[in-house]
Amino acid sequence: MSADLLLAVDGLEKRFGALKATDGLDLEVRTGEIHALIGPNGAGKSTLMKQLSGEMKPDAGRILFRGADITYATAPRRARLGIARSYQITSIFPDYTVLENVATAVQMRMTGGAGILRRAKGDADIEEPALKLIERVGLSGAHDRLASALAHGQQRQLECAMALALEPSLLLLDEPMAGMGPQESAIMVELLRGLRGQVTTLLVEHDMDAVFSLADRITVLVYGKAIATGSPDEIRNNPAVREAYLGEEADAS
Amino acid sequence: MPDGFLRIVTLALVVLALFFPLLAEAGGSAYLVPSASRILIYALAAVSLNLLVGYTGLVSLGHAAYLGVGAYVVGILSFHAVEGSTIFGLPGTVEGLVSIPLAILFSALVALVLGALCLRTSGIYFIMITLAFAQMMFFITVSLERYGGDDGLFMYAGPNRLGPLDLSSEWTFFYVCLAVLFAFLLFCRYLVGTRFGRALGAIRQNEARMITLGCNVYRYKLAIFVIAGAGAGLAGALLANQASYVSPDVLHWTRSGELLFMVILGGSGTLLGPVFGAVAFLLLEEYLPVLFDAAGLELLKEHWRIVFGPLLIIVMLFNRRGLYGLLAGRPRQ
Ligand SMILES: Nc1ncnc2c1ncn2[C@@H]1O[C@H](COP(=O)(O)OP(=O)(O)OP(=O)(O)O)[C@@H](O)[C@H]1O
Ligand SMILES: [Mg+2]
Repeated sequence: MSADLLLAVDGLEKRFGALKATDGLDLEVRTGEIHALIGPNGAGKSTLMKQLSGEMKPDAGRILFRGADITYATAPRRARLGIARSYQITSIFPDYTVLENVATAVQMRMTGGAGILRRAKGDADIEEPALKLIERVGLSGAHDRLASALAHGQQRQLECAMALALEPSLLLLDEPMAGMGPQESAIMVELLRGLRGQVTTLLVEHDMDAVFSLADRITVLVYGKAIATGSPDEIRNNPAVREAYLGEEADAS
Repeated sequence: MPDGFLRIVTLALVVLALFFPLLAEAGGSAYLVPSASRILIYALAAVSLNLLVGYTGLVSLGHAAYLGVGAYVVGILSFHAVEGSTIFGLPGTVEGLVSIPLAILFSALVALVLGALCLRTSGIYFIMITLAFAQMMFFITVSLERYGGDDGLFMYAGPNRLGPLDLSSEWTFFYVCLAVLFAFLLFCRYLVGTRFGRALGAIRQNEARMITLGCNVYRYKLAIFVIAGAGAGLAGALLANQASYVSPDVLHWTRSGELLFMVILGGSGTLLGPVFGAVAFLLLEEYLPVLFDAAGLELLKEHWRIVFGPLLIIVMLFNRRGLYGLLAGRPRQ
């Protein structure tokens, strides 16, 4: 296995009854790249994300992170190893303010016993990095608002800030731009572009403009199988992909 | 600090509490002082339960078990002191400075063991298993023949001493309870304000997210379960001293239910809510029948619970945060 490989998925399988949501999937994510994962609805993208984050156990196959087998590591363990994720369906702390949401994530990265009994509000150690992240995702000014009171797009931005708060080496983003307006999407694209080279990102996204402008490499998932992996140009010109996926998109629009 | 109407009510309650024995005596109702102490003790227990229910989202239906453990530790130590016998090779004691910390320690230990098991489950299963373990503790106390079995254990030595303080003085005991409740409230306020408390609130709101943020939620929940158990144990120790008597009744599952009711009625997840809940619950329980009697409503006097139940439900329907919510008005936006 080559040294610049951060994540390797090897023959991964996940069955729901008769349905194979992940069907012998192989995937390699290189350090530093933005790797986009595209595929039609129900292709098994979110299911893969869950297995990578540890929320769901695969039925077969292996997941290697930095060469170490993490197939059966728990979700908190993987977070501590540097794998963070965001959710397709917004998953935040609704009764907390934006700042409290992000500070909670920051504190989970930092807390190693002792600091846990420190007063959280006004604690610069967690609030300063949190405020920086809030600004970075384009939410500055909203830090005092309750997360539940945010517009949908803003919640998506918050979601992203929380994932980044873990300072992950692998960021799993499940449709970060779903339900965002064009303005918010643009901020998000800029944010992700800024992360290139710093944080390895596995990006699931339906917004093809964003995907093709951001991704270093793209994997196309259909019925739980990777039917192609390559540069945006290779994927664009791949006949199998055009037929299975991009063609449908073109027809629909 | 709460604002508006809530602040006025809170201040009034604090002032009333501070001068209660004086006022009661002046009004020729000195007999009310022990009842007031009892309310403070249940308020303490409800506040400890609220750490689980309100702040962490763990609905425990077995919290009276820890109340019972605390009470029995005090009762059993007093029993051996009177009998002059030993327990585990150690003599009994009527010194509260020994028995009360031991009561806290024991209830914390029991909470550690039971919590470690209960917290493997969640949701409705958690409610059921906390109830089941509390019932187990109940039957254990019933089977303690030496300590009175289901008749309970009378503390012939009376209430403990507490260093220089004599808890058999109703005034002293009242102020000790008040001080303990106040200290515990300050402790809870501090605790929920820490990073630990922040994490507990996050677990309540979205446990799955906390897990993928790297949180070992089991450990956090167990820690607060033990702290809440210790708080209930402290309340139990005081309760034993209040009545000079302990019985399995303290651990009965209806007691757990009442504590839960106090928390929800008063306003779960708020610092003072459970105190309001305990005060309102115990006063209504005591005076609703009296009220109906005075009004000449014989039937309602007999079946006061018919009014009591719906009254509680109405308050909770009216505001998710119970009495606290009603007094505080709108939550923060
Ligand atoms: N917990 C589950 N139980 C049963 N079936 C499931 C479960 N989760 C997902 N599936 C099924 O597995 C398949 C893959 O679902 P998944 O959510 O991974 O798709 P996806 O690629 O993320 O789709 P989308 O683009 O709509 O988000 C779907 O057919 C879905 O119905
Ligand atoms: Mg999906």
